[in-house]
Amino acid sequence: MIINDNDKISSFQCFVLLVSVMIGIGIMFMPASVAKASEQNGWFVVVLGGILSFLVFLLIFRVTMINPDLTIIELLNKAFGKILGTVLSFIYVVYFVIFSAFETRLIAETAKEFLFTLTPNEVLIISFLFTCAYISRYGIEVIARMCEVLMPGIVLIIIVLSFFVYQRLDFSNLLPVLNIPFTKLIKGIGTTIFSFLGFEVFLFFMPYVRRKDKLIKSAFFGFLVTILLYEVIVIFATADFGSKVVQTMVWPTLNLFRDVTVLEIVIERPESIVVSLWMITTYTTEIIFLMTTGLILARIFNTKEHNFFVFIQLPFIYILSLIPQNIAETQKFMDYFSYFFAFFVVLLLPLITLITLLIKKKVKKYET
Amino acid sequence: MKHSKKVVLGTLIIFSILFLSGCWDRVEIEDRGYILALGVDKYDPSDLNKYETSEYINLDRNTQKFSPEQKKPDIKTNQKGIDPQTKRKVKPPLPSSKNQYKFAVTVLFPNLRTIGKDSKPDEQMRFLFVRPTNNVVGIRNYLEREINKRLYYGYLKVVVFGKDLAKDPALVREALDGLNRESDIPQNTFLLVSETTARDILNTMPLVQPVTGIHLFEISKSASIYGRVIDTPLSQVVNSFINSNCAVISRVEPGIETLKIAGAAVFKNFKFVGWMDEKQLQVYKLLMGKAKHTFIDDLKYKSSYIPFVTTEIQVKKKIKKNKGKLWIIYNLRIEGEVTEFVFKSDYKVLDDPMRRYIQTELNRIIKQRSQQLCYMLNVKYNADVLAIGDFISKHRPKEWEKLKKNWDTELKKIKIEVIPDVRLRRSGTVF
Repeated sequence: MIINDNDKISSFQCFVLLVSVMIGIGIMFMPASVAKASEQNGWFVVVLGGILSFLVFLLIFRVTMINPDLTIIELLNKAFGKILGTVLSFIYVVYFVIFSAFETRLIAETAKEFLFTLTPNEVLIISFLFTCAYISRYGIEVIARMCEVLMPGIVLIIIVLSFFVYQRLDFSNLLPVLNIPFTKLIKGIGTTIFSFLGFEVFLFFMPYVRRKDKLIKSAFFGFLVTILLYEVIVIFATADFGSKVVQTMVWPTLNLFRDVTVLEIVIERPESIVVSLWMITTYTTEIIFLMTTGLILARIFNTKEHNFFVFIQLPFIYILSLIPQNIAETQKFMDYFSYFFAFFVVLLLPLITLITLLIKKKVKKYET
Repeated sequence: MKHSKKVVLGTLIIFSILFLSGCWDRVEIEDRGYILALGVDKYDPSDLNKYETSEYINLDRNTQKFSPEQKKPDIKTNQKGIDPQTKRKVKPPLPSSKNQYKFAVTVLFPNLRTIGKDSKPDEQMRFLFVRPTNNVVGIRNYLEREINKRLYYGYLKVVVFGKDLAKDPALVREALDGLNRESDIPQNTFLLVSETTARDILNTMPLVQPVTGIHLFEISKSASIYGRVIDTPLSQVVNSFINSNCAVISRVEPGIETLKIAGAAVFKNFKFVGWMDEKQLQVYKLLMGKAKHTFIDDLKYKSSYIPFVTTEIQVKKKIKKNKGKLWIIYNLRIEGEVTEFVFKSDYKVLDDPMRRYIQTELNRIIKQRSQQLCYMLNVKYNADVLAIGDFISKHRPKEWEKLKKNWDTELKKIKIEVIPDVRLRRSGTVF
């Protein structure tokens, strides 16, 4: 596959892509799941989860730097042979399809609850998927530009809304600090994983990165912004409601912002704004996933363009997204997904590939 | 090639026509009923008799703008609770063995036509409906059959609980859950407990603002400034029930030509345990650090009462352990002003003997009143609405682990000391 120079992304775009792909629908209920596991120490757990994810990202970076011109697909082929490599590559396809299905179902569920109460779920899912697929046909550079436009707006609006929430916070709800057993903290980290997942798309983006040496730096800032944003929301939700109350909520983040009243006439019920905001964040995540799946399939079948493969996965995403009965079941599946599947795909498989290639001595030394 | 382009264009046009019909199910604003207030009462089979007593009818007459000469006919309803003459005043149907309900819910929504230009001057400002139901929030679905408006909870301002309902913990739990769960209801809806029934409250038309829901909402909203009113939004009540099983809900009293929000109801384990009157509420708000401008007028100098208005309040809570007992110490730092005094008296308010007198007397009054309040809340009502348990669990988590098993009895043992520090800063425009 020949990569056009127009299709390369700058280091700022890498940063934007990372932030956009990580901040997805997970943030809508993360304060609740974190509070269930580790009560008022959620903020600490988020930091730990972020650091852990960054370490995994470093591993991914090391794996792709075996040969920066290749993606994990070719590396798998090199390590395990053509047949096994292709099978393992298909696991990545399945992974991203399931991931997209989660995002789709959850955004449809949120939109149905707060915006379109009379619209059928299927219509919401189909229109969302088509909107995403429309842009995912284009290359990585176009999507990076799209994220460049959308991402600062999202961060800005969240910060502005946070100012209005700030006045009613009671930070004593964060006390006592770190009085819970260590096992609970570990459990808590598990719940944050889903919210951080998404950075593994860089397993496939390495050939498109213009300045490979600066990737670590932009990834660092990407993780920093994501962690800070999550911190703001987790701390604010815990301080506003108290950890016991947050546990009872389905959409704590939405509850946090929904009662912001600005001058009564200007904004009285901003939940529609917040939900549409989250539609945009999920949209940026989803377009990157759809494109990644397209790229993987294009590389497996060795075709020039990936836009055909973007549409081929939509029926699968649609069917998968309708499988869970309700939001609680979706979250249960999501936990299994992030504990087992993501653990295998994001951590184990790249690690095994690296070790196999090291044993086979096919690793070039790279200079940073 | 040209042909296929036309086909694509044609399909696109047809497809977009499908989506252009997006507004087919719109609802005009006049056709919506924005529910502003809900009144929740316990369903009482003898309820209806009350409506027929002369006492109630007099109250009704007084509260609606009828002059005493103008006689309002006594309303007699039929079996279904409908006045056969006007068919407007609808009351709950007479009880029979078939209709034993849990709640009697009152729904109030404004008449949006009165806002428009072509409104008639004698048109009713608001509509009130009372229905017996088994679910509080589900009342909307009962009303769907008889009201030609789309009822919407999104702008709900106040929810009033009747006194009888408040005494039944099971019903309070059901009502609270419904209000908290329904996603349309804003979390900053104010909760109030009526001294009588919720229906009486909503039936009253206050002179200044005839739409009762807005009247109550706007008074509650100013509670962050004034000391005698407490605002208890739904989210706060739910939070305190989850955290400590206790809550304070503001009280509303029916009056003549108006409604008064004064004092508060104390709940423990979802059950009403007692009232806090206006003066106790003032101190409660001081201790919780919620009051900004509290008006204290108990200070007596010779034969006149000196009013003291607080302008700034800082509360610092501390825990101390003394001889195996926990002490909670409230350090209140209060700044304020005296705006009335005796004309041409020999004293200057801001100068020393008088200033010190005012300060020490106020300290004494606040201390005494807060000790009484703490005794009442912690021992008599045994309800932890001062959030002492919450405070201990945050600052002494290890001791809280021991205490929380039988917190009800432990709460009675905890010593509370209030140390007020009043500073007189201003005296109006005259020395």
